[in-house]
Amino acid sequence: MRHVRRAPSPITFVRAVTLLYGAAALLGVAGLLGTAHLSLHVPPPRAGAARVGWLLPGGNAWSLGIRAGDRVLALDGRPPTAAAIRAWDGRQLTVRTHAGRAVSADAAALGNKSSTWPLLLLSPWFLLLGTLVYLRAGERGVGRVSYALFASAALALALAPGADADNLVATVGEQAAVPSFAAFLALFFLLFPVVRCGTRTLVLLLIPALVAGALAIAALFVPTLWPIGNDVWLLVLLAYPCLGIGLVVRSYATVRDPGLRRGLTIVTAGSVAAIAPFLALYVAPTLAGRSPLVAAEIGILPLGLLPASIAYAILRHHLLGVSLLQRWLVHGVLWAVLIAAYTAPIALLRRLTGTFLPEPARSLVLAAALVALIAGSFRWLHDRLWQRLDRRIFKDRYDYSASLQGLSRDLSQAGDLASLGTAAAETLRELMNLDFVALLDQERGGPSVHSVAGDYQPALLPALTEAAAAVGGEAGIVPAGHGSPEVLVVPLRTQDAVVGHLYLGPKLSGEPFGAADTALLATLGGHLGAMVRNAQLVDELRDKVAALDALNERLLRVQEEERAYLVADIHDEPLQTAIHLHRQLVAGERADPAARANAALGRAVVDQLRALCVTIRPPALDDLGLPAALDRLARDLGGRMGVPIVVDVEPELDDAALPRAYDLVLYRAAQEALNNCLRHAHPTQIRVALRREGTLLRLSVSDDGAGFVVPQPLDGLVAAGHLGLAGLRTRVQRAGGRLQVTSTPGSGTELRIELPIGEVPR
Amino acid sequence: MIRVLLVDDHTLLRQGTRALLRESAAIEVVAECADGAEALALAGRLRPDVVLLDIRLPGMSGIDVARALRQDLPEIKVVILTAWGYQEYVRTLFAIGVHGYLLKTSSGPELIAAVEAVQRGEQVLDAEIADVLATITRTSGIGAAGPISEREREVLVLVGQGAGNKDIARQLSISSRTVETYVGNAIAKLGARTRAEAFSMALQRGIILPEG
Repeated sequence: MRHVRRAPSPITFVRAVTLLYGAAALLGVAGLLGTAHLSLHVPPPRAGAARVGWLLPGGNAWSLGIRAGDRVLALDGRPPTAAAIRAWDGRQLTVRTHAGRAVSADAAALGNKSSTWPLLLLSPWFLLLGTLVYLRAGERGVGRVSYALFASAALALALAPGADADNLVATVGEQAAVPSFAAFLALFFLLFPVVRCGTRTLVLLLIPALVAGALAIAALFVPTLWPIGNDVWLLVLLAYPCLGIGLVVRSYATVRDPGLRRGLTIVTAGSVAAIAPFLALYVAPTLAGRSPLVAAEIGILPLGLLPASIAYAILRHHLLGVSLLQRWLVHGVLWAVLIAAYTAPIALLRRLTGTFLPEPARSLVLAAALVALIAGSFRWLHDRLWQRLDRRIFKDRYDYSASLQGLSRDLSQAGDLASLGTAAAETLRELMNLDFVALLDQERGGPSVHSVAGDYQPALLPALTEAAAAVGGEAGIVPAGHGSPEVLVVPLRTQDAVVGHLYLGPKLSGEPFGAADTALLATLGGHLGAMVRNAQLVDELRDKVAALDALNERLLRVQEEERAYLVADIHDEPLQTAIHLHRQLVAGERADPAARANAALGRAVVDQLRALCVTIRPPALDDLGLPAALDRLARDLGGRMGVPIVVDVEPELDDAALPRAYDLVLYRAAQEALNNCLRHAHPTQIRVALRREGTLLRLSVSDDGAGFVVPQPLDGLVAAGHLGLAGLRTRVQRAGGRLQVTSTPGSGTELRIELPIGEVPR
Repeated sequence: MIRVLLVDDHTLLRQGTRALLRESAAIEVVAECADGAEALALAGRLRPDVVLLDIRLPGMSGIDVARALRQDLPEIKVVILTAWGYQEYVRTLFAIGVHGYLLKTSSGPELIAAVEAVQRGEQVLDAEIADVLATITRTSGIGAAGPISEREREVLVLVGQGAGNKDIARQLSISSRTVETYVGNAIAKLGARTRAEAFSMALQRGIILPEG
């Protein structure tokens, strides 16, 4: 297999962002699992009481009302001596605030770990969706912005536990990521689904977010900036999503394409549901100077609806032209689900055994159960689920050997090349879920489309031909022309030549062709090649037979014409001259009796010439028509062989019912049948009947002779040695009629010829 | 004087026939020609008593000429003079209604006698053909198929009344070709030689009654 690859994707950038996200996630994990510290500095007192130095604005201690300059009353429950300050690890302190209250802060009790871990878990899905959209989106600009949107959301969510635990780096990251996310949300809806602005506007729109972020970060180190910094930050957080929702509502009003509209409905609903609770319950009250109705980490949880709705719209309505269903992705999810499914019973077992099994035995039992469970069911469960998913999502899952068998069976049963090609193409298309399948025949005059299935465009032909030339004698995947989809080209080979090509359009799922596909096609290519070659040979043979038939008919026609000319010539000249001569001799008889013998000789010549004419072609056929000619034939043959031949012609058969074109065919048929019968069957009586039955003219020659075994079907006449009958059959078929022979050995034969009458040209 | 029109495409033979007829003082050959269409034109113009007609002619055949003459100029007697003596020809032409059927091999006196007999209103058949017909197999061919049918009987009755094929066809509402076929079949079945003989044989055998 030879792959002609596309240009590499901008994967480097993705790597950098993913690394950054990894660091953020680590900070998040550290915030959740690490020992909590207060982000608060107590400098060693040079004189007087120990006081709070720097503390993280907006942090846990800050939110308790502790500010820089507050007097420290105790550190970890001990008086704040210089030694105690040096040894303090930031876990617990008590201060007297400016307001005069004594406030105690315990790092272990602060923070909100139970509600921040879902944010961390939510974050990778944002990154994953963003990366996929970025790498796969047809529209580059939208791809970039949505990547920025999802990546900033992922970073913000991953950093949340770290920030919650007052980690400075995480907090700085959070202060930058959150307004960026808000800004990118607005930008996203500026570009999607209708592009409304250029890069310049986008950059300008980013400036408030950058300012807000910078201000908020600066406020962390210059606490006096904090109130204004925080307000600007929150304002930006409120303004951008409102702008975004406004834009999406406007898009909804302007977009007319029904598919896009349905996709947009989902995205709009998802975005509003994702952002509105946070804005309404947290940002707005905070900005208004009141305490938020819910904590930030709870209010932001519905944000998960944003990627979910966009992913659903992409899957269901092909939004952004992205195909999200990557096989590795589905497979990965399947693995995750399976691991979760196995974890549950193991955990249950662990809990159950804990009550009555002592430790080493318990671990052993658990290990054994785990091994047994996984060994017994994993493969079965995985294969079953994977097959189901594959079939449902990618529609190209098939059993290699069963499919090959089925196809081979179909191929061997197909009668001709046309039905064979169609059957193979349709089966393959369904099997592999392909856009189209085309079978091209390598005829002498170049390739011709043989059979197609699916959405094949005739305009593709030149490109496909080129593709076939590009792969040579091997199967290969090539783009069929500029901007065209990739097709898999499979040459149909016989031992000595390529007889055609099979073209398989891209999979409808957007998946690449797999190893099983190519293996199946490689095997099938050989089969199909042989079948196509066979069919070509049969076609050639059929042509040759047709040519022979035509030649044969021409020979017969020429023979009959020659006979007619010959009879006319004999009649018009030698016969008339002989008659004249005979008359002269008879006239001379009176003068010279010796001339009598000559007169008799002359008479003999006349009779011989007449008999010759009748033998070559009965003049009655041309002069009087078929009934008279049959009468003559019956009298001649019957008289000669001593067998009565009864001729029964329907009296009202007139010229209209008896086209001249049929006279000769029927006469020769009767002649052949009578001769055969008299020669071989030893009948005591023969009957020749000519009748009209509806729109059929029927000649029947029946006897009570020996009969013979009639080959069935009549194609076997030649092989059985009945050459005369076989020739007659061809002649009758050429005239548009049908020949039937029924015979029972011992009780006679009937030969029946039926010719259509009514519309036959005379 | 019997006025005769000679129709034969073979010049030498035609002149021979003319020479044979010259032996009779009662016969005058008023014209001769070599094809069917001209024969019809001459017959219409000259109104001969007898037309001596060959069967094989260029263009229109002698059979068609006989048909046309019997239909359009029934008062003219038609005598076939041909190389073919076969029964089916004889039968067909008598069914058409010709008055005589002679072979070209017949002698001058036979020819003259036949023309004179026809002129008297008789139907004439070449003696040689008559001999052959007398010995021909009666077990093979159309005549062997069976007894006279009702339709054939009806046609024979009308033949006995002296009706031409055209009249019979009109009376029975069939085509005149079909009438020919019925007359021909009746001739064959009865073993008759001429049209008139078929009628008299049918009468003799009680197939038709004298009252008709």
